[in-house]
Amino acid sequence: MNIKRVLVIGLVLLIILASISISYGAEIIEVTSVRTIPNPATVKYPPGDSVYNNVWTRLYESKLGIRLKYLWAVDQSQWEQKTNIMIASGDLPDFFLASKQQFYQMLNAGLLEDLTDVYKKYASPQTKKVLMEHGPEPLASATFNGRLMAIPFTALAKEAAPILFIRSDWMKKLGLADPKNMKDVLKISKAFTEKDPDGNGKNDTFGIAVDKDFAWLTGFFNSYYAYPNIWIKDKSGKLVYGSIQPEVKAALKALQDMYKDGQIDPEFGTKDTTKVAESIAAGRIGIIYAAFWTPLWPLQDLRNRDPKAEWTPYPIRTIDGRLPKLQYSLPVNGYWVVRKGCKHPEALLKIMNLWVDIFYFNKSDEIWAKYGNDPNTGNEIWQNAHAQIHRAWKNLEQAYKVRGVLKGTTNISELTGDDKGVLHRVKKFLEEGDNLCWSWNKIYNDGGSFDVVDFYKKRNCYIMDQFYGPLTTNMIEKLPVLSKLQSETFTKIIKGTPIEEFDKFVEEWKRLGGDIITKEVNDWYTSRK
Amino acid sequence: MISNKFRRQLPLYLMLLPGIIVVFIYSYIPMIGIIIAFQRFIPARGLFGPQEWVGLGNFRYMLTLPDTYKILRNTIFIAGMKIISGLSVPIIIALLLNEVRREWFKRSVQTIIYLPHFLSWVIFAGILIDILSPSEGIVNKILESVGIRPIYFLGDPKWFPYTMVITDLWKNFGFSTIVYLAALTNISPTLYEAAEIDGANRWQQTWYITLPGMRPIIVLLATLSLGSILNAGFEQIFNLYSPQVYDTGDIIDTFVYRIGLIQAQYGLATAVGLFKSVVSFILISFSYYLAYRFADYRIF
Repeated sequence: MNIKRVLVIGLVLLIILASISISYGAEIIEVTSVRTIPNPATVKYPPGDSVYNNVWTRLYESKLGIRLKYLWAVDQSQWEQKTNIMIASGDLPDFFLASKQQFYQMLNAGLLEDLTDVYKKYASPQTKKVLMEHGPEPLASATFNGRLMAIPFTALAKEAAPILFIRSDWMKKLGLADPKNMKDVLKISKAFTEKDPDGNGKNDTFGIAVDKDFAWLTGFFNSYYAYPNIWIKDKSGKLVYGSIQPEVKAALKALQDMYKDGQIDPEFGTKDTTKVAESIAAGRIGIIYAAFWTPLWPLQDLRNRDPKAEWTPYPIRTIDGRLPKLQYSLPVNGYWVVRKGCKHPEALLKIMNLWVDIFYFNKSDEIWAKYGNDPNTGNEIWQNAHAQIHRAWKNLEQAYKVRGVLKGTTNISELTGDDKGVLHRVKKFLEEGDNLCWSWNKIYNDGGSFDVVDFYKKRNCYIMDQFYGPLTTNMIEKLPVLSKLQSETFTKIIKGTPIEEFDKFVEEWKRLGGDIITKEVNDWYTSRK
Repeated sequence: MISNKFRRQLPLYLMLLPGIIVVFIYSYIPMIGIIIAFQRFIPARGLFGPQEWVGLGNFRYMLTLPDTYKILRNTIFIAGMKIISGLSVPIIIALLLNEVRREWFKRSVQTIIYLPHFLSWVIFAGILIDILSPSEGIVNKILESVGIRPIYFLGDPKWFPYTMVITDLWKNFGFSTIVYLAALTNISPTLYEAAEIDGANRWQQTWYITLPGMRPIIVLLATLSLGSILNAGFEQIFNLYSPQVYDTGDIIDTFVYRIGLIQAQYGLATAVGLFKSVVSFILISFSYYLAYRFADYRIF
C-alpha cells in the first residue's frame, strides 16, 4: 500500500465522517430563551465558558439534541424590566420564565402555546412528581378551561413555614421551662426583657424580633389563629381577607402590651430585617419567628461572636395550646411559558426533565461535581441549568438522609452530591467542633429546624391562601392603598394607639375597595369549583 | 454675508451635532411613550398594539385616590425646603470659604464636605439609621448630654420631613459649594483692589462685589431648581421611610413606585410622570421669565 492510497482512503473516510456528522447535525433542533446571569460570587466559569456556553448548554446539545440559544442574559435586578420590554415589543423567545402578572397578560393576549399534550407526552414521571408534591394548586393555577398554559416554577412554601426560635442558654440561666402555649412564650419574652439574661447589668435586651414590614411576625400572628394578607374560608364557606379578622386584633393587642413593656425594640418601625438581624447578632434579642434557614442567618452571626449562644427551635405555640396552622401562599415563583407557534414546545420539558434528574435524583459524585456543585471550589454550576422547578420537601428529605447516615441506618450511597455536602458540614461541627458549621447542625441534625418542619408536615399544620387567580382590576388599583392603610394602622396600634383603631381600619378597608375585591375573589372562587 | 458667518461657525455646529443626536434619540423619541398615560396599558399587547384607550382616566383615578392631596402636600413641602436650603447654605459656605486665607484648610474642607455626595443613598441611609437612632445614635447621645430628650428623627412624623431636608443638605451641599466657588474665581481681582482703595471693608466687598458677581450662577441654579418642586428625592425617602411616617413622609415618587411599578400599572405611572413634567415645565418657564424680567438674565 503506497502512501498515496492511504491518503486517498483517509480522505474518503474523512468525507464520509463529515457528511455523517452533518446529517446528524441536521437533527439538532435550535430553541431560544432568555435568562438571568447567576451571581458571579457563587458561579464561576472556566476560560472560554460563559452564561451562554457552559457545561449545561453543551449537555443539552449532546444529550437532548437541543441547541439552547440565549438571546440575552441580564442581572437579576434588571430582569423584570427587560422582560416587560421584550413582551411589549412582541419579540418573544421560544420559552422563558414569566412572572405571574406577565403570564396572565400574555395568556389574555393569546401569545402562549397550549402545553396540555406536550406535558402529558414529554414530562418525565419525576418531573410530574416534583410538580405534584406541592399539591394540585400550582398546576391548577396555570390551567384555564382545562388546558395547561404554562409550567409553574414551583418554589418552597410549606417547608419554609415559620419556626419559633428561642435562646435556650438564656432560658437555662433564668430557669425557664419549654413553652407549651403562647402564654408561656409571652412569659419568656417578659423574662428576657426584664431579668437581664445576658448578665451585663444593663437593661438592654428585648423579648421578640419585630421588623418594620412585619416579615418576622407571621408566626406570631398565626399563634393567634390570625392570618394577615391571605384569603381564608370563613364558617359559611366564603372567602374573607385575613387582615381584617378579629383574631388579628387580639394579636395586635398582645404586641401593643409587649411594646409598652419594653419587650419590643422601640425603633422597630425604622428597622428592616437586615437591621433587626444586627440586633440579634449583637445578642440583644431572644425570640424570633422565622424559616428553617434562620440558624444560617442571622443566628450564625451571633454564634461566631459568642460560641456559648444556643437556640432551640419549637413549633409555633398557639394561645390555647392546640395545633397551629401556618399560613402560606401558592408555592409558585413564576411560570415557564412557551411562545405560540414555537416549533418545539417539547424542548422546555426535556430540559426540565434533565434538571430534575441531575439535581434531585442523580447519585453519582462525578456527575454532581460536573453539573451540580464542585466540591473543591464550591462553584454552583447547577445555577446554569435552565427550566428549573423546585421540590417541596427537598431539605426535609435531606435532613432525614443526613440523620440516617449519622445513625448508621442509611447507606451513604443513597445520598446525592448535594446531600453529601450537607453531611460534610454537619460532621465538621460534630467531629471537629467547627463553630462556623454550627448552623448546619442546628438545621439538619436532631434538635434542629427540621424536627419542627417534620412536626408540621406530619400533622398538616398548614393553611393556604385560598385565592391564587389573576389579579383583578380593582385589586391592582386598590390593593396598594389598602396595604398602606394596613401597615400604617398596625404600626400605630403596636406603638400605643388605642386598639379600637382596628375597628375603624376594618370599616375603612371595606369602604376603600375591600368590599368590591372580596366580591371579586368570591366570584373567582365559585367559578373555580 | 450670512453664508460667510455660517461657514465660519460650521465647525461649532458640527461639534454640537453629536449632542443633539443623543438628546433626540434618548429624550425626544421616547416621548412617544406618553400615549401610555392615556391607556390602560398592557405590555403584552405592545406599545402600538390594541391598548384600551381611557383618555384622562388615569389622571382622574390619580386625583380620586384618598391620599393624593396629603402626598402632594408632603412632596411640595419637602422639595420646597430642599430647594431653599440647597440654594442658600452652599452660597454662605462658599462665601465663608472664599474668605479663608490658608489654602490647605480651604481645600481640605472643600474635599470633606464634598465626600458624602459620592455615597449612594442605600449606604448613606444605613449610616443615618445608626447615627440617628434614639437609643444608641451619636446624635441623640450628644443631645442627651446637653439635657435634651432623645428625638426619634426617622420614626416621628413631626420630625421626619426636616430630617429629610437636613440629611439631603448634608449629602449634597458640598457639590453646590464647589459650583459657587468656581463662580467666585471668575470675579476679577481688580474689582477688589479698586474697592479697597475706595475704602470698602470686607463686608462691603462681599455685598457689593462678590454677591453681584455670583448673581448669574445663582439665578441659573435657582431657575433650574424650581423645576424640581415635585421631586422630593425618591432614593432618599424610599430608603429611610416606614409606615409610621407615611403621614408626612410619603411623596409622589414613593407612592407611584408602590402603586405603579409593583402593581405594574404603567398607564398610571406614566400619567403621574407626565403630570410632574408638565408642572416642572410651567414652573421653569415662569421662573425663567421672572429671571429675565427682574434680573435681566437669559440662558439663551
